[in-house]
Amino acid sequence: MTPSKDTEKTKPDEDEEVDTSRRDFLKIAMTLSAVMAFGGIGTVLKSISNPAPPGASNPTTFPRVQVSNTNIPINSPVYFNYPLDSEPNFLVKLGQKAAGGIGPNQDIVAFSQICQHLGCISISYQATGGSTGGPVAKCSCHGSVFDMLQSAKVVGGPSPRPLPQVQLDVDASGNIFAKGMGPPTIYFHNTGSNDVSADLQGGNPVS
Amino acid sequence: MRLYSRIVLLLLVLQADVTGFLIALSFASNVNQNTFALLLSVDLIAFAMMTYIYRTAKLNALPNRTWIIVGSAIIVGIFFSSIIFT
Amino acid sequence: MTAQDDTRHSGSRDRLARLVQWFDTRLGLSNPVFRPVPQYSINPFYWLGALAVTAFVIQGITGIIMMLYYVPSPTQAYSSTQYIFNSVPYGRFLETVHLYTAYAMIMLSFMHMMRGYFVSVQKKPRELMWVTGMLMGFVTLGFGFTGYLLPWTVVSKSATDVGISIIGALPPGLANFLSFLIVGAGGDSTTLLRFYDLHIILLPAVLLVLLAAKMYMLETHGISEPVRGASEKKRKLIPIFPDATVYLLELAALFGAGMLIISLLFPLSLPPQFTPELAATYTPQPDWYFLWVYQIIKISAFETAGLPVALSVVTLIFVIFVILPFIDRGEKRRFADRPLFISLGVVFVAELIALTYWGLVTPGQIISNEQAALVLGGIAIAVVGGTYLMHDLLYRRVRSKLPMGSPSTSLRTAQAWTCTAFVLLVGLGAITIGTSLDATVRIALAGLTLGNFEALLVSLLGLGGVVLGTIFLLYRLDLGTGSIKRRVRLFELGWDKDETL
Repeated sequence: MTPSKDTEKTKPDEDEEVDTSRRDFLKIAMTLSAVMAFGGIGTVLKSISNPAPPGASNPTTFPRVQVSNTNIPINSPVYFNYPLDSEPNFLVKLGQKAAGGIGPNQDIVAFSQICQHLGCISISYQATGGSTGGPVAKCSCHGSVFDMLQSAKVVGGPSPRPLPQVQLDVDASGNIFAKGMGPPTIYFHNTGSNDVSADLQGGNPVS
Repeated sequence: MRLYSRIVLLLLVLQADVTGFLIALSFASNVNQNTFALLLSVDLIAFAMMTYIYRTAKLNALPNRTWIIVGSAIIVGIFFSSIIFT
Repeated sequence: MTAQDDTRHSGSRDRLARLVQWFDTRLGLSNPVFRPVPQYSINPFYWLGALAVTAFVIQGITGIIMMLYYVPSPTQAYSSTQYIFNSVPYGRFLETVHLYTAYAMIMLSFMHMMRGYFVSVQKKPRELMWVTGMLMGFVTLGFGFTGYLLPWTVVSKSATDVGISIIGALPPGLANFLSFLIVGAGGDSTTLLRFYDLHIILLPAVLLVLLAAKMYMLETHGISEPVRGASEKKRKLIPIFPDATVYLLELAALFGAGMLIISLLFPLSLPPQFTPELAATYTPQPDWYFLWVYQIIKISAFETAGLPVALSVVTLIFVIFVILPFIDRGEKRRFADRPLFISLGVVFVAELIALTYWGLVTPGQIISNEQAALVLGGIAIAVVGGTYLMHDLLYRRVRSKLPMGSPSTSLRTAQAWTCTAFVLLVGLGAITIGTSLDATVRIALAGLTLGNFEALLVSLLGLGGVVLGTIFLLYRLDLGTGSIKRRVRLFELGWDKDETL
């Protein structure tokens, strides 16, 4: 008979002492393993800590913070965190009119630096990187390309959505303020939804 | 059987590490949610391997080498895939 | 380990033994109430039901944690769900695991049922276990139906509204009772609250009572014998604690890890909130486990005859399954001796797969009678024919020759591969036959366009693949010339090399 494939048979160990101690070792190992497995599962109970209850102190309005000024040089990106203090964005003066642009020439735009494909934070601005020489932002992770003139519309690469655009405001002396985020949501904040209030959850808003 | 004792010890150490990580993990960001899922699945697979060795050892038989290799490969695979998910 | 080690450790070993003894005296672990299980049941197929219960436990854990944050009112349902997604620690993970484990629970219950059907567990004396199990299946579907509404998204509310109106088309007595249970006095907030209460209290309570009944009957009857009998070694009894429990924990751990990995690979994002304007742009479709009912209702014969007729058909299917043990009264359990019921079972699974897939790809479209008859009838004929052919090849020659002993492992492996291949072929076959016939009818009705032709070509190619796979499978199985079986038979059963079969 060919040996069974489930378990390979060995002769039962003759030495009783060793056998028992191995048995005990395995039993203790099993118990420890079970304890750690259940303990691991139990860490999900961290969900029952006390975050702020809904509607109480969850911020629902975007902060308004100054991020730059209109007299920055063209094609020189400015980096800032918004709306949470852990999430980078970049602001750039394009030198040509763009969708959603502010400033005297409507050419200052700002977008999230977190790629909408898999959340890489490696978006870099390239003044003439587009296929027709226009300004684009490229993600070096998997090659997504976003058109800066069309609200970071995806013109290449695997990203399924455009970059969220930071809504900007400018006052009389040329100071630029970030006052909100456009859809889609920043990557990881209910990715794929258009409900931008989700961008305020999960961290500390800047002030 | 010596070899399997060593595997058992390795699994226990792995589980202890993973469980320690899980307890220490802060639960703030979404990245940590993926880490949690990955680590917990490693914990559970190590536990399943442990029970498999225990069960077959009780019958005074050796565990099938293939399942040990498959289980270890899956654990290694999960650790590698943490690059994508975190 | 040497003898010296043992004397050094014997003090702690005594303490360990006494600790174990402490628990044992109080919990009776070494002499448990539950009967021991035979060795042959240490096999995942015997534990599909237990895995469904494990899924239920996971649902309970994730559900109870989410319950702390969810608010069952139409104005706050979506925002509280969103809150769980975004702000609760591990919230997104809880939601994703909860949904996928729900699907797993339904799938596992179905597999458990079909596995039981095919190995004839529902014969005497286990008929009532089957009925109880079917009721538990209905409760599980009820869990899916009630839970689906709770996030109050466009997708879920639209689908549930359709579901509720379908329930209203049942016979008056039943419809009134169910409507009252589900909808109460009417209106969105009452309905949501009712669904919520059903989902978290009534249905779990009913499920637990039915589970207790089933476990009691299991203890009375024991695990059913394998169809082909079992050797002495395989009949050896294994105590429930710790061995069978450890095996259950092993399967449960693997299942949990699998669910976690699936949740990682397919993360969820919440569909938009339900608003009547948004709902108007959206074609409602039920969740996948009801797609087959949806597809049946969409057949134009039922559209004209009215919903009650369609519902009677669906109800009839359910009723037949519930009283199955009293229809299939034969004593025989081996596959070889049940060609009719095995074929019917395979056809049922094939049709279910085809209907589900078809429902998925044709949201909102009425199906013409001819198309329905051709597709469903075609699948039935093809699958029954195929099953009978395989059954004949497998068993006609073997029926008299196969001894009742347990087959060896290499034969087992061959059978396992054959079964898997057969299941895959049935599923794919149903889909490709269905789509081919569907494309043909569409060409016949609407004329030849590029899209129609492409669809026909693709489905015919798929069908060709399935046919080739079936031929290959039959070749493998043909005892006269198939390589694997023949080699194994020669070796195991000592058949004469020159013996023609």
